[in-house]
Amino acid sequence: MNPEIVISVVLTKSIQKGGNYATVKGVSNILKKIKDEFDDIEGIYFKRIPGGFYSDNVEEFVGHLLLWDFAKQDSPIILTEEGEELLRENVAIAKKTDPQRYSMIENYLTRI
Amino acid sequence: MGNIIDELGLSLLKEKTEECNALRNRHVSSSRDGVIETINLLSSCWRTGKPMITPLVTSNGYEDPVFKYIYLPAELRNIFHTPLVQRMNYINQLSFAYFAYPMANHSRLAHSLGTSNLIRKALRRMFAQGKVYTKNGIVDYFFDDETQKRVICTAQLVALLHDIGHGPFGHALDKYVCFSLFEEKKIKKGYKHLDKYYTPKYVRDCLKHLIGEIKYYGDNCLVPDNVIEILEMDKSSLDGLNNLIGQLIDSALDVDRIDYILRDSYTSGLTQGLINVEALLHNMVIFKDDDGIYNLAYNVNAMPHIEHLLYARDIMFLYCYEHGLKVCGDRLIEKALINFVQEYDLIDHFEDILLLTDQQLVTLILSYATEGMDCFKIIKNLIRGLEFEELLTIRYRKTQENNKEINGEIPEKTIEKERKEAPARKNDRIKEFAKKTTYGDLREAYYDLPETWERDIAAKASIERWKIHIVLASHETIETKEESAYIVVPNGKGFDYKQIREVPNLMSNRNEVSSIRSARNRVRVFIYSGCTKEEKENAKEFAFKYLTEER
Repeated sequence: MNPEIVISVVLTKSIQKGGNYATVKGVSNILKKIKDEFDDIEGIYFKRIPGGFYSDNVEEFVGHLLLWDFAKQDSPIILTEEGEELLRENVAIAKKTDPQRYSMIENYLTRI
Repeated sequence: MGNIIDELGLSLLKEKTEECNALRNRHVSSSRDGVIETINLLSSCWRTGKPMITPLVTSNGYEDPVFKYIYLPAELRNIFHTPLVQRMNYINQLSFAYFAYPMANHSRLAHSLGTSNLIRKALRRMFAQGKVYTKNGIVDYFFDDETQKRVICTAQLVALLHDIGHGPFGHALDKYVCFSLFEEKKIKKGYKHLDKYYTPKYVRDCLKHLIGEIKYYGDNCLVPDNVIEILEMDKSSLDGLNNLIGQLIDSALDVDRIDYILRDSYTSGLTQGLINVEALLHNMVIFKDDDGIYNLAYNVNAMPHIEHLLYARDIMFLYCYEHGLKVCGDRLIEKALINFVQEYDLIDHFEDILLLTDQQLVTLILSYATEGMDCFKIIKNLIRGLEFEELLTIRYRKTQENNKEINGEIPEKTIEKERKEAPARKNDRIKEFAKKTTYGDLREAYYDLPETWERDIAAKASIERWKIHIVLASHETIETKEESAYIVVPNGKGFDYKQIREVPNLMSNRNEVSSIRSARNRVRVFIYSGCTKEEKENAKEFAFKYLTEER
């Protein structure tokens, strides 16, 4: 699974939950927990910041969404219709390409 | 009779063809061996952990046009004189920017020394303050002499080494290597700059033993694994003061960026980049979190200077790092290398090629490429002085201007206004590229797509393929970049550690910064200047239609 696909899966859930979850920091922290507890997510790297972790990969992904009109704002992250469609496509790719890893992430996300 | 002659002729022809093929194969094979031998010879000079010379230099530093004098402690001199570090002398910091700014031809080594100087100054000042910021207020805090010396020595070394992983021409080969070769060779994912992968690798493979010999205090030596850990891309396991060093060298507003913006501005003459370094360094503070981890933060007084830095960085991208001549040069060397690697089947030797310096790579291709190869024509062109011109620029803008060809003009509108007025952008090839980047299909987005587009445009305009080059928006063009810098904001009892974007009303020129980033979001087509006027017009018309048509 590409890092962008994993980020999309987590971002989709984070936006549903809203608030602090739907920020670069919020998404980074969830990904870090997934990486530590369940799954070695390939290609996503973290830095320590007070109170958690920050990933430049997430920042870049959200920055791309903003730049290309897939998102309207970044904190909290709000997507455009096109952005929602894009994330749906990425989630579908995740389900299809690596169903086992996808369900592991999905299970974890339902518990947060 | 005629038939016999024909048959004899055919059999002779066949025989000669086979001979020719055998000769050609032998020639190609011996050339390939020669190429590999040369690559090994050249790269092996750098891949050694021994100091190049016994340093005869007795001074404790180096004169520098930017900082006047850079102090390099004696402990680091052996490392400084290793081939891997000295190799940076032969890698231009700004690759082909000298086509636009002839003075901008300083080396990676100059930048690394500058960064090393800044990190030392920053840490000395932070230690001299004797204060640490916490969420409960400012606490007097003194680090003992041994700790200070260890941290400063480690930090200077990290700064000196942070760029040794660069390949020839710096970032010019990032996309080819990270998105194509790394994928093919199943090397780690998620790297967008090849140096991020190779810097810790080179240190681990070649310099570890020398680092272990560096004495910072009494008989105490540096721990090589600490240095490697700080240079790794994943910094989540850094603790204590190592985290502070990690943030000083690689974070939103680190000393690496401060040095390159200032140094590149100085040498290019783009004075918009001349930021107030002293003010930034004076306002750096240590923030200690609840887990006892030390973090880099800026005092809120630094805001005007941080804003200037953010603005300067984007201006430097717009006018220097992404100047048409520079990016065209970068694309040319990338294509020359791709072609050369394909022609000689060098895919298994790409890591040795990445150890070459700028001039070594050019000479290698020029020496072994034959006249019929695209890489030969491209390299010859690069040496002659880049006979290419910008044919077309299509900016991805969030307005109706999106679909107009804009050559050199940036409509003066703020992003906020554009967003309100923006019609949905149609699904053209540029949008296809944008989607591929967000799917994570980076190989397709940055490698396959431009190749296909160039081929199609060249074919339609009936010109040779090497005469058309497409440069896509950089993968670094994102809207949020570097606004994640942290500042300490008083909260009544103590301090909060906040990202700039979380501090309301402080980024007075955020719209300007966003506008510049938006202006950088463009696709550019370059054409060989020697093409006829008619060829250029045909290519321009077709390229615009091709790239912006509804799909």
